Amino acid sequence: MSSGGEAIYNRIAMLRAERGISRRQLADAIGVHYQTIGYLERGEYSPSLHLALRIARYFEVPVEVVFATDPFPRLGSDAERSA
Amino acid sequence: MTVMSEPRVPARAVGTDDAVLDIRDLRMRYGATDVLAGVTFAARRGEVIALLGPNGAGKTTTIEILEGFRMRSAGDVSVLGADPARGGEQWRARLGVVLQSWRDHGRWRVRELLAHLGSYYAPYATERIPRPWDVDELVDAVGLSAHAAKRTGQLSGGQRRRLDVAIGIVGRPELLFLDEPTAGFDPEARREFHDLVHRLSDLDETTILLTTHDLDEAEKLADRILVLAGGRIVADGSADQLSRLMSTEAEVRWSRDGQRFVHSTADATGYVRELFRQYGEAVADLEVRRASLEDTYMALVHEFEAGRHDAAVHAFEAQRRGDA
Repeated sequence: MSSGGEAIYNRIAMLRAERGISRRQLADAIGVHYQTIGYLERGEYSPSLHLALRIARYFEVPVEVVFATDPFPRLGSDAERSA
Repeated sequence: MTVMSEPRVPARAVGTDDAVLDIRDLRMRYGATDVLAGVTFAARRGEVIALLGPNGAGKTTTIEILEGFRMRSAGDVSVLGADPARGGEQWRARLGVVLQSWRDHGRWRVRELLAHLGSYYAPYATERIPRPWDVDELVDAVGLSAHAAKRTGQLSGGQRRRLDVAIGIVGRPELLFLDEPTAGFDPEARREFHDLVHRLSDLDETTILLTTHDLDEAEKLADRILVLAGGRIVADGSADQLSRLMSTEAEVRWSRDGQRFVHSTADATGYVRELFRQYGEAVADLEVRRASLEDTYMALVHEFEAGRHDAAVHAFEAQRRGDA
């Protein structure tokens, strides 16, 4: 979507699936509309810094676990296995 | 308690009252169960009121008491100036009722049935209100012109519902009760029905009390929304008043340098002000989305079910006083 170094990658969908949390639950917890979770997960929208921190806090992980400026390594790759 | 405002139309026949509905502390008990535990509200002439609430909240019971179909346990009820428990034919002729399901008259043809039912209302015509409604005009108003000669048993679900509405208004009621009127309507039929409701309230000053589970519909149609939960009115106000009642967060969306952002905040105005201070003209596609009536309704009902309904009611009353 965005060009150059502005892209923000996220693992919201993965965390959600892993924790068994619905989009609706996440939307209610952070105060956005249901569809917005989809926009965030697909990278159509970037969260404000404050919203990003609240999403991370909701999952109880550091923000860099959810968001990154480089694509996250695929599950099952070497980087992921050694982590 | 809602305070009656000045009549909108000054010239009235002597003795008419603008309070079409006035219900105080209405109670209904079945055995040991309080279905209605003190319902209080009023409606002015020409007002459209939507009664919302979860299944089993007492919506249909309330309407049946106001229609005179069910005797209440306690409370003062005035419907068109009379107690529905003692309302006579003259009074009943001024009411219109559309029940949740009304499947009968299968062999009658649409136009004949409406002409027949309408004839019962002829003795109750007044100078101001000719009764019944002209059949062809009525058939047209509910969008059944193409089906006027059909037997009612041959109508589709949506067409049958339009006929139910036509039966409810054939006597040109001054007060109309609609119990889930648009169940089974397609979007176009729904829109046409909304136009009809607006026409009845705006042109004929018909007072309308409707129940619905479609919150979008309630928001579009109703001047005022009542939320019934646990046998009490837990909220009473316009859709806008209700959405400001619950402190749900607003969502702010914008774009900057081609990238789209989203934020949620209780203070959207303050956030946007700060956004412009920081980024000025780089901010584009600004959008602020507040809680919908559905969000508010769900929050209200959840709050009530969590046993904090008194807090919800008080917050609402404080809000109203603040607005006044």
